[in-house]
Amino acid sequence: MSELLASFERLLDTAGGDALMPALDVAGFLDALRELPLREIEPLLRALGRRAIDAPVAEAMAARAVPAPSRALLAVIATAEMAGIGERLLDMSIEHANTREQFGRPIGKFQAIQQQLAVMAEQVMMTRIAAQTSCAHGLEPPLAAAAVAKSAASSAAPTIAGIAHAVHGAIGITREFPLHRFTARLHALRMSHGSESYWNRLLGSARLQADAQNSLDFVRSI
Amino acid sequence: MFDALQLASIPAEDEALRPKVRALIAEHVLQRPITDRVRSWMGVDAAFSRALAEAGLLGLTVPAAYGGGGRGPFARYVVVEELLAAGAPVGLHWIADRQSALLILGFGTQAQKQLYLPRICRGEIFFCIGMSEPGAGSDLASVRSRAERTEQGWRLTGQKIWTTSAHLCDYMIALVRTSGAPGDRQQGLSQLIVDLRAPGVAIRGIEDATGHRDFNEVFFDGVELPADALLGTEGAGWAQVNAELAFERSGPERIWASAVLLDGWIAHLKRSGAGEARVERVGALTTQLAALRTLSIALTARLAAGERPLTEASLYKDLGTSFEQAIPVAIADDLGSHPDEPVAPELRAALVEALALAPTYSLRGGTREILRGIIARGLGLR
Ligand SMILES: Cc1cc2nc3c(=O)[nH]c(=O)nc-3n(C[C@H](O)[C@H](O)[C@H](O)COP(=O)(O)OP(=O)(O)OC[C@H]3O[C@@H](n4cnc5c(N)ncnc54)[C@H](O)[C@@H]3O)c2cc1C
Repeated sequence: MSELLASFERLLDTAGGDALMPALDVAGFLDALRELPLREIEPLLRALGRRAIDAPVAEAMAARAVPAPSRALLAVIATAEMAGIGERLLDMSIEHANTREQFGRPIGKFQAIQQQLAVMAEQVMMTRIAAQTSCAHGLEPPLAAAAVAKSAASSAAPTIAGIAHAVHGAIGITREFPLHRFTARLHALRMSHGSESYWNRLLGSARLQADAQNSLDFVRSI
Repeated sequence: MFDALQLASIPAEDEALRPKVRALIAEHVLQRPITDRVRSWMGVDAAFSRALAEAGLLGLTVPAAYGGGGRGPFARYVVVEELLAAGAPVGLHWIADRQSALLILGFGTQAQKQLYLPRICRGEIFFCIGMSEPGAGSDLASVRSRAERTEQGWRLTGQKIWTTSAHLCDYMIALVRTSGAPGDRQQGLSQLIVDLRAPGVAIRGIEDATGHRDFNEVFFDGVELPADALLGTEGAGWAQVNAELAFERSGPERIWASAVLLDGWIAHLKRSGAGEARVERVGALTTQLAALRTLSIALTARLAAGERPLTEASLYKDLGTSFEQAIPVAIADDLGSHPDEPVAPELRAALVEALALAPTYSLRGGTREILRGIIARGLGLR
């Protein structure tokens, strides 16, 4: 883990609530995107997701780096946060499956639970690679690249949130247990800056207008 | 767990292979009907396989000393994605190129490597996979075919099933029992290279739902094989077959099976017109394809680094085959939702073919449920 990420995470874990934004500002993190490429900030965005931070940290970073961040950029940034949320939800779900016992054994020993968690891991992996790919485009991502990323992440979100809740059972919807914060944030980000259908329409019309020889040519051009 | 999966791109020298492959595709593939091209993996064309070999595009990852290209996984990646995206008939050389050659390279003796590899790279001999038996599907360790030692080598008795292209192949790499009893499970298994023309081998085609005879039953009735039919170490068959399955599962090819149908449908939409729902559907499939392709490139980079990312490969195969299966389902709904619109008969026929083929994508090479079990183990649940 990089030094930058480590100090960012330390700050996230100590400064809570209203103190967070000012603390990040003083430490220079809100200017991070002005100084470093988005590709290198992507792990920080995931770190926000892993904590389900509601404050608009990522948006503030973008606004400092470009005068009027495009919807494509905001969608890419949201994708990275969603990847972080997905990682955390998967970890929580595996942890719960290995500790919660029913019928005399951890529920993670039941094949039905295992198969659901495998599906969840697939969707988290998709979100993760979508985040990394799109963040590599920097602060002016092409529309098509943003479309691929945000569509993949937003399509994955309901499956990820749904399985996390299914595996946790009733405890997962209590106010006290933190799961709902992550799934609510994931659902919110799914809608922000264009849900999957928004981006699918955009990419679909690009595909239908392109004179690519085949789908391989088209996706290679994104 | 996904930290090791890093964004990667295809090296320029491998990208440079595309024009060569495309020239062959233009010459041999594009004029074939789309009903034919949706069957890419099952497509058989010896002249095409040989043309690929002559162009140096078979056995790309086999060392040059054995007649191969001596290149890394990305060279094969580029060639394979071009071939599959165009629906080229790759069935004949497919297994040898993807797994048998690597297996022989990894476990064979010097003599075996010299005997088989150059001919594989020249497109002269073809291999099939002898794993499944009537009683051994997902539970592969329960194979019953048995080879006994003789003075000259081995005597093989038993049966394989679902052996794709056995009737067209020269050799099978078979997983058989060489000691102990079926109850011993993973112990006592070995891999043999079986000459399919040896006396006592009988091959009977099995007709599939679409009327094709791609897979077979293969019977061994006291087949006498030489001592050097043994591949690798006697008794190490289980470990070897798992290495072979890793080659089979981690390839880049898990997203293209329905691509020809997808492109046929997109051409149809360009002619017939597409409202919002259709545009959105095209976008949904295309975004998935693009995201999956980056995933497959990231995975291939791990292979190129000499790693064996078993869990990630299983995650990818399950995602990829689900996507391949979703395409015909989506297209059927779309065409059915425009009942008054004329559809070219060959697009309709290709759709019927693809719907019939799609279930196999998540069966061969290990079923969806078995893959998810492997993933669960990787996640620390088993
Ligand atoms: C087109 C095609 C080509 C093939 N080509 C070859 C070939 O060339 N060579 C070769 O050796 N084989 C080949 N196969 C066979 C293939 O490997 C097997 O079909 C596969 O391993 C599954 O075995 P089975 O069909 O006997 O199904 P089964 O093992 O009977 O499975 C049936 C169902 O039960 C499920 N199941 C089984 N065990 C478990 C478990 N422990 N937990 C949960 N669910 C379980 C499966 O997931 C599946 O849903 C081919 C298959 C197809 C469809």
